[in-house]
Amino acid sequence: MNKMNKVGGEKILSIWWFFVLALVAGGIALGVFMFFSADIDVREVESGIMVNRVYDCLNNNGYLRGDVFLEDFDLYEECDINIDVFLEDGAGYYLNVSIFDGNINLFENHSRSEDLKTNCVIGQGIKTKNFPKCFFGEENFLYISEGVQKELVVKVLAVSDQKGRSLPLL
Amino acid sequence: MINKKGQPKGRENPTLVKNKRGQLGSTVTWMVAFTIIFFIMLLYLVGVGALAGSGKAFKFKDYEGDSNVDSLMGQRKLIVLLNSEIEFLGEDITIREAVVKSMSVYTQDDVFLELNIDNLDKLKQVSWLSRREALENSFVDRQKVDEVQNEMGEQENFLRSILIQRLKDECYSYFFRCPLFEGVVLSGGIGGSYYDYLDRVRTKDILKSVMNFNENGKTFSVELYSSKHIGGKCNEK
Repeated sequence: MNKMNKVGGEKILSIWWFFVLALVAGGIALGVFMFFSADIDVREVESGIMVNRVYDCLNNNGYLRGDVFLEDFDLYEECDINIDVFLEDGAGYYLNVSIFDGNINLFENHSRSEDLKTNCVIGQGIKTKNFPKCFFGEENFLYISEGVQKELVVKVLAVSDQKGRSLPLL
Repeated sequence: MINKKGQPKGRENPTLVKNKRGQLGSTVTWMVAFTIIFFIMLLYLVGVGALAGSGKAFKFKDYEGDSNVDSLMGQRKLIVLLNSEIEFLGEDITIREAVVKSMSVYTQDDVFLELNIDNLDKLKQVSWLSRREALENSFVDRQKVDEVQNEMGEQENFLRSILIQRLKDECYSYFFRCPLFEGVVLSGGIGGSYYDYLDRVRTKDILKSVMNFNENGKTFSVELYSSKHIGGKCNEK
């Protein structure tokens, strides 16, 4: 008889127990879904990584790599960057590399989407939400010209409009 | 429901539930527990929503102002600095070679042993008197010791002046550290501690770069900390 009573008690308790379980499980599932469905904006980070990649590619132990000024120097190929994403119609990326000796521009290479650069500049001046993000770097590299060591200024601007997607749950 | 004998009614009819008060208590307990858990879960969801909504959970290293500690940019700056050619006391050498040259006496086996340190980064902890003593024990001839110390002093001062010249930047403040000296690089000299530097730059966005040297089996490092000035024309967008 005592056993039967216990079973009855557990039956009543199990409803609440079920509610609690459902609440905890549902809450965790909803929390995870909310967290992973949030937008991730990697544009600025991506631009920064791009600039660093170009610098690392042009840098040879503090010196500017020797073949930069050769006519057949392909920045994208040498730096192992996929040129297609820069040159396609409606490209989401822009890259501009220029090398100066004082005020003299010795080298310039930029991709097609100049509008990305313009929008990024506007986005830095005023508060915008969906404008592309850019990263600008200016570093001095050593260069030996006619036996004399010089310091050249290498300016790199990378713009990204690839906002990214939500992380897939599955 | 108590019968005449004071026994619960469930005794006569076993299907009836006897301990109602106990069950009521348990149910109330669970209702309270449910309410508490419900609010905890609500708090959790609000927290997750706030994190996901603000994007703070996905904030990567801040690239704003191109300054973050231990970045590649800082390392490149130090490499360029150390590979820069200078005229060092009549010789055309790089700053790296000038640093090695200034340290050359201390990298000698006998002097190093007398210094009683395991690596040359600890040289700063050795007092001037102890250094002098180590040189005297190694060179025997006092006149030679004076010569060596004078030469080293000259090299150190020249190195300081070169660094002041090279690290003059209107947008960045630098802190240089090598076994011989350390300090904030200012237009008038190199001096002060790292805390003075932190106090001066007033930012945590400091690029730290380190270059390790190994001369004659003795190791030491050169460190350069740089930080971009806050505000002003250096940060104009």
